This record gives sequence, structure tokens and C-alpha cells, in this order.
Amino acid sequence: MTPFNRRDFLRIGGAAVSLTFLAPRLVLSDAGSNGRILVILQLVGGNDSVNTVIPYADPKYRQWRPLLAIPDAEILKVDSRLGLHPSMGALAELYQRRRFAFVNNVGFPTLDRSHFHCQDVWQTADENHAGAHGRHSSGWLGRYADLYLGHEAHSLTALSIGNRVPLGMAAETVIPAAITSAATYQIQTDPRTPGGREPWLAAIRGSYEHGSMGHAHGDLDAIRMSGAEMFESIDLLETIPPPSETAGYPDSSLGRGFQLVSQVLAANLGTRVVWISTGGYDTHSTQGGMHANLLADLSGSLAAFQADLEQRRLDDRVVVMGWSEFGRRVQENASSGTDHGKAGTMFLMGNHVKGGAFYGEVPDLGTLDQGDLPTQIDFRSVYWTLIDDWLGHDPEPVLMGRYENLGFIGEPDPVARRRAVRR
Amino acid sequence: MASIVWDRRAAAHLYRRAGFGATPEETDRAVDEGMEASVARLVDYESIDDSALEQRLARARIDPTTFVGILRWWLLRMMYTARPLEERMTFLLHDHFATSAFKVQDPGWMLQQNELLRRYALGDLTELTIEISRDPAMLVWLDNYLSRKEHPNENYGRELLELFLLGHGAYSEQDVMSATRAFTGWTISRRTRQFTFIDAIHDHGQKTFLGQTGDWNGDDVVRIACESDAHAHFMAHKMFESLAYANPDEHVIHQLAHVYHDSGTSMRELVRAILTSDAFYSDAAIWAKVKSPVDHAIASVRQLRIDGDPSRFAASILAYQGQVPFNPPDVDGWPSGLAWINSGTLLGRMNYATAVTAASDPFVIGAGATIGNAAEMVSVFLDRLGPIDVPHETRARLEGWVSPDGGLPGAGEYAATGRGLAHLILSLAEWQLN
Repeated sequence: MTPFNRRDFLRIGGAAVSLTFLAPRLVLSDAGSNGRILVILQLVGGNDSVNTVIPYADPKYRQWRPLLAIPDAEILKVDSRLGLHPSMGALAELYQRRRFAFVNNVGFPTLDRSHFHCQDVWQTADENHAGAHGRHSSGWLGRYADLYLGHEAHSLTALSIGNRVPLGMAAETVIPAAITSAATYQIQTDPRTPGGREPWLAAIRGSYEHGSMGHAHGDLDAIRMSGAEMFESIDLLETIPPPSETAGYPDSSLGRGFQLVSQVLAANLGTRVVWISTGGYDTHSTQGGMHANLLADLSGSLAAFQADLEQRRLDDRVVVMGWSEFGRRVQENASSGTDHGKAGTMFLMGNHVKGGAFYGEVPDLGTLDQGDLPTQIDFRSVYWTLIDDWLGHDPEPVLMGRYENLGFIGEPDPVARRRAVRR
Repeated sequence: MASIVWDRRAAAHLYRRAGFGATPEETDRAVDEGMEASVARLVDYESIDDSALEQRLARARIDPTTFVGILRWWLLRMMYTARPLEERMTFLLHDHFATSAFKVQDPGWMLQQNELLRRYALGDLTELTIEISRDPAMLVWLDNYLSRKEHPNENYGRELLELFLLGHGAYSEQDVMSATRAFTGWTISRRTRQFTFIDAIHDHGQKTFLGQTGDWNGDDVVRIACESDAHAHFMAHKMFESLAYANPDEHVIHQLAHVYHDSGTSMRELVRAILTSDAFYSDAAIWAKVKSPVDHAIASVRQLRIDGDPSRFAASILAYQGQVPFNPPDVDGWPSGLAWINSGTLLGRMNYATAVTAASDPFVIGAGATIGNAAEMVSVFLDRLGPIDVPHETRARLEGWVSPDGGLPGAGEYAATGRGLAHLILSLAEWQLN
């Protein structure tokens, strides 16, 4: 297929061919791509990494956290120094199966405890232009998609679960569809519409496919593009298989979100990058039970997703990367919570993740930066490794700099190859 | 003024920005009365009788002690007010002094702040800022109620300067600290649940703020900041961008800042100056913003003159798109422009339009017009729901949908065709602009 630029295509769309005609051909064509998929999981609010991946052998842990420290007997120990929160049993099991890994002490030089600044930096991978008052227009994953997926792109090449397209996916040409649920991703028409539903839909769809050449307004072009993406993605979404009944997703928006991701991936439409977010991690007060519930939801959703992918024989094609904008203060505060901190923990899940291991040092609670864990690994090293070794592209034009390859991607461990059978 | 072409296009633009969209009758009246009189009708709204709105609110059986109750109360005000600029400015000021019920928790306090914003919608911004510094919702939202001289909390002092009065970069870290110290002791009485000043925890030391030194308190800090040129420029810029368009030329803002400063921080005079400026009616302004979810939800109801109570349905579509009044995402308020547009939000807008147009009366939309064929029907609807320009191909599609042979829908089909046509128009890319 001749490479073409999606934006150019949409501009000329009305003149020659319509998206309706072209979309099925695009989705059948995976040629030239390795078929690998990256799923980004954002924990919004700043996850308390110290109580997630717990340096339990450090005596300072209990000194800093007289109320919030997890009792030693309950910690799911993965190592002589580190253990997972008791809510994360399913992920501890995946860790044993070498499908799950984490990266300690991740941050960046200008971490400043601000949600806005830090979220923007993680999403743009650009410290100079991020921040509430220097809004950056392109996200790191958006730049990746524009550079390496533009030639094959359609409306589900990039997918955002939810009602927003995150800054991290903001792109010039590979515009993600934003989908909350497959069941509601349908245009409703008035049953009294003369001529029925189809002529009405054809009329409105046609209006979005007109070339807007001659229109001076850039925003109008962008709205047309999003509209064309919407109509195309509605059609594509009709082809997805039903949800798994046996994977064991939690009945939560995160669980339902991952369930939808697996359905879309199973349809083999050429989806390459996915973003899914979950909130509630800004645990300033009475953190204990709340954080346990969040981690249970996280652990259950991720493990169900992996099981679902295994059942669908997609597990060799997907890696999940989890992140949060900062870690939290090591010392608990006066209201049984934790305040904004600095470095935190990232997660990696997938057959090709060299799991059952952690990357970076065990956090040292005796060497803090203003009460916070200092950064030892730049988050862009994780992005670098994923783009370089998993997606198989040159990361430098995406990240606008060179970062360390952390070496956490490899061939699936044959010992752990047996698939979990869940009935 | 000579460069302003005062026609239906300009009049409808005024109503979209200063209100939430005009009915055809409002547009016609504005064209007849002229630009300055139309702006005066919007700006000097106190004399306009709004008792019909109050009666409607009374009938709506709203529980003001719940979050859903106050949300519906405000959405109904926006939908049915006879004083559209009052609600537009209340909403703009809410976005400016963005406070979220998510943290404040108390619907009574949120409603109290809303009534304060409405009282000062076109009032003296210096006085409003002094009042909002004593507003319980704000004191909780930005933690100032916890601020005492031994442990001052910078949250309010910083956002007051950065987001409310001066803008990033127009003050120093020392100014933040001085403002913070000046507001120590501004707190909430446990007994009355209202503002109280506690002298014992107020910092009476000398403070240097924007170059002036004294034992300043919170009111002094607001007055000093509001007298500055930086504030006049900041406020003129923010209001112009909110009402007209982004990234205006400096000379436009310079003039407006003068008007505002010379009037003693009168929002009424600033807004009047914006709404009567050449720039406001230029091609850079008309249809040049993206409708926010609130713009979209309210304008649909107003322009189609939907009766009844669409507030619950509007609340759900606003939650879906992420713009629930009383619940901004953070102290910086809501995003704007294309941040509101993606495949999912457009789908939500089209489905909202399905329900709104299904409840509409096409005989009201086309009232008084002579419609002899499909082309005339499309022209009348595009005019009444805009007036809005669409590409030639789009117009042809709409006409083809109304009638393949260019005639009129059959007898008895007019109402259903009219609703479907209105649904098409509200779903167009062009209609997502404001």
C-alpha cells in the first residue's frame, strides 16, 4: 500500500474515496508491522510506591510509618528486601510466573511535587515545555504514533479508554478514538426519523468527510477529523468479539476498561497503542483502606487482562507499562495519609517482559531528598527501552534525546510459558 | 465602530458569547435595536424581569442541600434566564475562581459561593476578590482556613496571585509569602460555619508586597494587587480571551486594560468595552471558538426553545464530557478549545442532540417562514439555528436528506423531517464551534 499521510487523506477524502470504502482494507493490512502492542496504564494522583512495593527489611519503614506500615506477616515478599502490598496477590503470582516486573526510584530532574507539572512532563517527555502555563501540544506516545504508525493509521490504531484523549497521546496525524464502553459507542437516532436511521447517518457522516479545503478555520478541520474517526471507529468496533466471561475482571471502571481493550485487540484491527487511566491515588488522608482497594482493583484488573490475553493467544503481542506522576512522602502525615513526594515505582507486564525481577535499587529509606525518595532512573529510560526493544523503532526522535536501555525486554521465559488455565 | 457590520450573523454571535445562544426572535430584535442598545440590554440586566425563571425553579422541586440539586438549579438558570449575560459571567467567574465540590463537599457552601459570584457577575472585581477570600468554599478549597502565623499555608496566596489576580511571572516568591502571611487568620468559625478572622493567629509583622511595605492584611493585599497595571492587563486579557478569541493583539488588550483600570476594576465596563469592540465582531472572533460542553448543552435547549426540565439529561452529558459546573478539575479551571473534541465527545454531543431535537417543535423553529421546497427549508433551519455557514456540499446533503427530489416533505411528515433536520444541523462540525 502506498504510504500516505492520514491528515492529507482526510483533506482530500471527499474528493476521491470515502473512509467507508477504505477502512476494511486498512484493517486487513498488518503488513510491515510486527504487530506488537503497547498499553499505557496511568495511575492518576501520585501512587504511594512505598506501600505498593515495600522495602520491608529497611527498619526505617516502620519508623516513618507507625500507622500506615503494612504488618510484616501480610506483605507478599518477592525478595529478601522487597514485597508487594497484600492486595496485590494476583500480581505477586504473575511476578512468580515472570510476567510482571517493576522499576524502582523512577522520576526526573525537575520533579516538584506538582500534579500538573509532573503529569505534563511524564506525558510530553519534555521538561522544558511542560507545566500548567506552557502547554505542550504533543505527547510522547502521540509523537511515536505519528512517526512510526502514520502510514498504516486508522481510527483505532491509537485508542484511549475513557472520554478524553490524554496529553500523552496528542498527535498530529494518528488521532486516537476515545471510547468508554462498546455498548454505548453508538449513535442513537429518533425512531420517528423519516426514511429511517441509515439515510440520516449517511447524511451526517457525509458532512464530516467533505474536504474542508477553502475553510480557513483550523479547529473546524480538527473537528471534522475527529468526526470521521468517530464514524469509522463505530464501524470497526462492531467487529469486536464478546467480552471474556472467565478472565475474572473486577467490576470496576478499570476492569471494564481492560476488558474492552482485550476485545479490541482480539479483533485484530491493527491497534498499536492504548492508554487507560484510573484515579484516586492522591491519598492525603486516611490512606490505608483506600489504597488497599485501589491496589486490589489494579492487581485484579491487570491479572485478568493477562489471563484474557492468554486465552485469546494474544499474550505474546502485548506489554503493559504502568506509571504515576510521582511517589509520595516517605513519612506519613498527621492525618494517616501521605503527601506529594518525588520518585516512584513503574510496572511492566507481558510475556516479553523479563519478569520476576525488579530494575533499579531497593529504595533506601535512610537517604531521602527532602523526605522523598530521590530519582535514580529517568522515566524516559523506560520509554526508551520499550520503543527500542519492544516496538522496534529508534526512540531518539520521539524522546528528543538519548536515554539508557534498561534491558527489561526479552524472549518469553520458557519455564513460565505454560498458560494459566482459568475456568 | 464603522467597521462593524451589524446583521443577524453579528447579533447571533453576541448572544452566543454573552449568553448561551439566541432564539430567532432575540436575534431579530437585536438587529432592529442596533449593536449598542443590544449590548446595553445584555449588560444592564438588572431591570429585566426574570420572575418566569424563578417560577420555573420553584416548580422544578429542587433539593438545594444536594449536589445534584444545586447543579440542576444552575443548569436551569442557564437554560431559561432572561438575563443571559448574568449567567454567562457567573459561569466565567466560576471558571476563574475555580472551586470544586469534590474537595469542599458541602453543597450549601458551593451554592453560597455561586450566589456571591452572581451578585458580583458584573460588579467590582476588587470587592469580589475581598469577598471570595472570605468565602467558606474557597477557604476550604485552597486550605486557607488552616493557615496560621506559625504554619502559614501558601496555597491561597500563590493561586490568588498566579491564577486570580496577576498571572504567572508578575510577582516574586516574596510576594507569595507576604500575601500568605497577610491572609493568616482568615478562617471558618466552627460554630457559624462562616468566615471569621482570628487575630491571635494572624501575622501582624511588616510585609513587603509588590514593592509596598506595611502590616498588610488580606484586604490590603487584594487592593494593592488590583490597583496594579499588571492586574488590569491580566484581567482584560483573560476576559477578552474568554468572550472573544485566543491570542489577541497587544493593542486590543492595552485599550481594554485602560478602560478597566480607569473604571476602578468594574467588570461591567470591561465587558461592555469588549462586547462593543471592533475586534469582538471581527472574522477572528465569529465562530472562532469551540463550544465547550456547557455551551453545547445549554445552547441546544435555548435555541430549540425546549420546554420542561432537561437539566438531569444535561447533567449526565456534561459529566460524560468532563465539564460539570461546581466541579472543575483543578484551580486552573476547565480546558478550552480542541481539548473538548474527540470521537467519544462528538458521539456524546450527537446523542444529546438526538434527545433534545426529539423534544423540539419544528413548527416553532420554522415559525413565520415561507417554505416552498427542500432548499428553503434547509435555509430557514440553518438561519434559525445559527445563522451558520456550511460548505456547499453539506447544504446539498441536507437538502437531499429532506427530499430527494428537492420538494417538500409529504403532508404529515413536516414535524419529523424538521426534527431530523435540526438533529443534523446540531450534529454538524460547524455547530460545534461557537
